[in-house]
Amino acid sequence: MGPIVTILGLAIPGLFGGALIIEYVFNYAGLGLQTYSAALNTDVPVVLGITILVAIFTLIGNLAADVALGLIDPRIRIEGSAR
Amino acid sequence: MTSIVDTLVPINADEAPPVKMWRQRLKIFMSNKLAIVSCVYVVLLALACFLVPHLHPTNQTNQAIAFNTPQSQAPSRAHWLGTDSNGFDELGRIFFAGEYSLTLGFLAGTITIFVGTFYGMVSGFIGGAVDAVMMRVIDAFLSIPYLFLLISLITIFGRSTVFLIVVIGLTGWWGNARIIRGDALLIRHLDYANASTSMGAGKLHVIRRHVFPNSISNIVTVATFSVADAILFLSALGFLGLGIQSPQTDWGTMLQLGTEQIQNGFWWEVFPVASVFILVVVAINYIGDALRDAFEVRLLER
Repeated sequence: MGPIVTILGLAIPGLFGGALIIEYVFNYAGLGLQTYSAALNTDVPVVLGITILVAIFTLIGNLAADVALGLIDPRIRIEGSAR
Repeated sequence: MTSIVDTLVPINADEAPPVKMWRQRLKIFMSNKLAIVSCVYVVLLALACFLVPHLHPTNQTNQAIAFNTPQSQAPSRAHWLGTDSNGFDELGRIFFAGEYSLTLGFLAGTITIFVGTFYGMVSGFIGGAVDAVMMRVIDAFLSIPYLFLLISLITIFGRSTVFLIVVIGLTGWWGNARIIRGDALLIRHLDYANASTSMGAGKLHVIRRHVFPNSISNIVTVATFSVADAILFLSALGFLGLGIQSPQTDWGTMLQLGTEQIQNGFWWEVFPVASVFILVVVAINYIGDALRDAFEVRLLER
């Protein structure tokens, strides 16, 4: 269970990248399609802004995965926390 | 009656160990049938991609000539896989595009593995605070979804062929560096590396003689996978219309053009190029798998 959760956390960036292509193919108006159309118009601020936003989402996802790992397996303790 | 001494096999002193090791590796690699088929496929495809456009030239660049040939034509004797919606010959275009896809994928993968190996080796070998900082940098990069990062870089800096190679090469090495760093960190503290250090060997010597040769199995495996990944990401960019620019083309760009026609039932614009492209990525992954077995030290006989 532990490794699965870790890999799920690491798979989140791929999720957003996949969403970009899916949104492009099915013309679904999401962040991915917005990035894509901004990239075609060389609208750099929009592209960078969405990239930062998605990076923050990824970080939150990774944090959630780490916390979930601690909940699933009580043996895992972060250094400094109470035993 | 034979004594036990006679049954022992004498040690052949003049047998050179390195040659034997490489022969064993070749044998292990050859025992993987899937990998041999993959090798044959990749080599044949690469030869075709680099030779066919010159041996049997079809018009792939001239819009005016293409405009006068029938567009989206079904496979016929003149065009074995039909023509695409611009009037370019589909079979010739697969090879024409493959030339760029394979070259860019290979070059970008090579950059990736060199940078990743160097970074991982330095990080894992120095260790301590330097290692911690270098790995946090990688964590920071890894938190940016890769496709978004590629798109932003390409939006900012444009998309020439050389720049595509450099961008994919210089952004794809983070995972590689992590794997290599883990190896270096492990091997640095193994007994033979410690023994070597205790006998006065310098850091460079330990890296060259112990850490590098023992992590070569991971390096080779990761190298093949990163070539496959580079081809995939280049095609993803091409599919989004952000890949190589037009007179040149790549498989992703071809797929994009083809998917616009798939609802008309023009299968020859999608399936041939898709299968060639998927098969080459799968084949490279199988080769990487077999190479990992071949370079695995524990599988070698003494």
